[in-house]
Amino acid sequence: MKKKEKTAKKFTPYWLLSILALVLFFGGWYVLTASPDSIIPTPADVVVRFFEVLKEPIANVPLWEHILVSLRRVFGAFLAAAVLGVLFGVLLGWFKTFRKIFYPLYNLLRPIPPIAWIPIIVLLFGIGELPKMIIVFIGAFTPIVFNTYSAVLMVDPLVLNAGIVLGANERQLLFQVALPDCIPSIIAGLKTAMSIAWMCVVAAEMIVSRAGVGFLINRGMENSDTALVMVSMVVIAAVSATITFILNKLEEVLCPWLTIGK
Amino acid sequence: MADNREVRIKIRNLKKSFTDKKHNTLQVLNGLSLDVYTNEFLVILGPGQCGKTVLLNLILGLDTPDEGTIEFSGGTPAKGEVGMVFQRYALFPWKTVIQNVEACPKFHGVDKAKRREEAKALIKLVGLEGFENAYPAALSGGMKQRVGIARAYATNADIMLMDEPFGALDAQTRYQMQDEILKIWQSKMTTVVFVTNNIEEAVTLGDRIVLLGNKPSVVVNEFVPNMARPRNNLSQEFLEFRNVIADKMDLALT
Ligand SMILES: Nc1ncnc2c1ncn2[C@@H]1O[C@H](COP(=O)(O)OP(=O)(O)O)[C@@H](O)[C@H]1O
Ligand SMILES: [Mg+2]
Repeated sequence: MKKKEKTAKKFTPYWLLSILALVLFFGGWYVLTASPDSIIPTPADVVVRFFEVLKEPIANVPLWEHILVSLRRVFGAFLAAAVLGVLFGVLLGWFKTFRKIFYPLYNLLRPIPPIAWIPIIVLLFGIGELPKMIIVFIGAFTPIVFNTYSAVLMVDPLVLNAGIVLGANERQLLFQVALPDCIPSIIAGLKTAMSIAWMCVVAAEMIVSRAGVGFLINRGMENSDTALVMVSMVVIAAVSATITFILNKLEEVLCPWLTIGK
Repeated sequence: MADNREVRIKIRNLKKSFTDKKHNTLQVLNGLSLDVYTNEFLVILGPGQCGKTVLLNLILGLDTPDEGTIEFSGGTPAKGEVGMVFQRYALFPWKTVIQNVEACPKFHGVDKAKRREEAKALIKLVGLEGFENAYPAALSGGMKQRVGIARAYATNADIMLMDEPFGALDAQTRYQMQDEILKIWQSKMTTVVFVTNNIEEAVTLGDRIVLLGNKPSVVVNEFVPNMARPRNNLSQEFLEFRNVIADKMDLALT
């Protein structure tokens, strides 16, 4: 059956289509911004500005350090959110009493955009590193909890029965049957959380900070340096793509059974 | 003949119903009584939805009856002491073939070298040598159920419950698996309770065939196909026996 599929598949150069889309995007960008009185820089302007920024620090901080500052905030908060979020999600999904107590509360707070917390967080914690990390934490925590919780709740009852019938005790049932079954959804939650974490760090830095990629965007905006804004956007995209790539690899390593026959 | 055989599971007057949120009660088993003899290959034949899986779940202790008793000679077994082969395989997708097979000994804390060795022997018995490290997703339906059978036998239980284990397989694979399950049963000396809704499968396999009616179910008939194995499903004897059961099944359903 598999053979048939393979021979039936015609050779389609999909990568050519991908390149076509990129060319159209950058071509369109160039055409729309090429006139001298355009207020948006051309792709070439952005590249030029990028190399300038590489050489001269902005606000006394070199580019790579701006990136590093943001990365540190994201990873610190993300790690905390991953640990606590998975824990909270498992407790919600596995223990009915815990669910009855905390789920309504969680559900009530969940739809509040993390960015809406910024004023209160700043009020409570000032403008140091901690408040920014708390914003990122709130953003990352929510999807991790949600994915973990729904995965635990939706573990195939047949698989749980198989575990019970094969003699798993309550602890083994959770750790050796239910949780392994949830790993793919948990990782999907981590991926969502990572992109939200990036959004949050940029937002938090745009409002109050002296370094970081969000600060760069803000500085570009204040100085009408649109090329700098766009350099920052490209940097954010590149770092995000790298992190997603790493998380995808991690998924392949942790869930080898998912890549079978795909 | 049956009278001087040892009863392994004695089921008496079993009743089970489910009540939904709107307080509608669905009576599934309605006073079912049944003896399962030691080391026999018992087939439970019944139409879909008649409560066969519910009955097996009660025997396994996954659920409790409203009324009636299930007694095992030598006391009620703990979890992991009765083997179960599931209708939809119920394999652990994140475990390889060998990890699935050794699941029960692992839960029971058997040391790795020992359980690996036993698992390998069982994998050989079900004809999956070379697939030890494959994941279930990479296997065909027939192969998945071979893993299910090996995993059940790894409990070392003397009772094996099989819930329509070949129901999802194509005809050819099904015939092959029927041959093999008989060989495994003969080599391992276990009491098998094999559930099916397929008359031909019942006549091919059973020492004894117990027919359930539509729910609310009870045992409506019992058949003993005194035919030597392997049974030829085209022989006159086989076809006649089949028709007798088919007639009774039609009656039971109307
Ligand atoms: N946990 C349950 N809750 C409510 N109804 C159930 C439950 N388990 C089984 N039933 C109902 O009992 C009937 C018999 O089910 P089952 O034993 O699975 O049939 P089968 O003979 O096909 O295995 C079905 O109508 C099913 O809907
Ligand atoms: Mg069933």
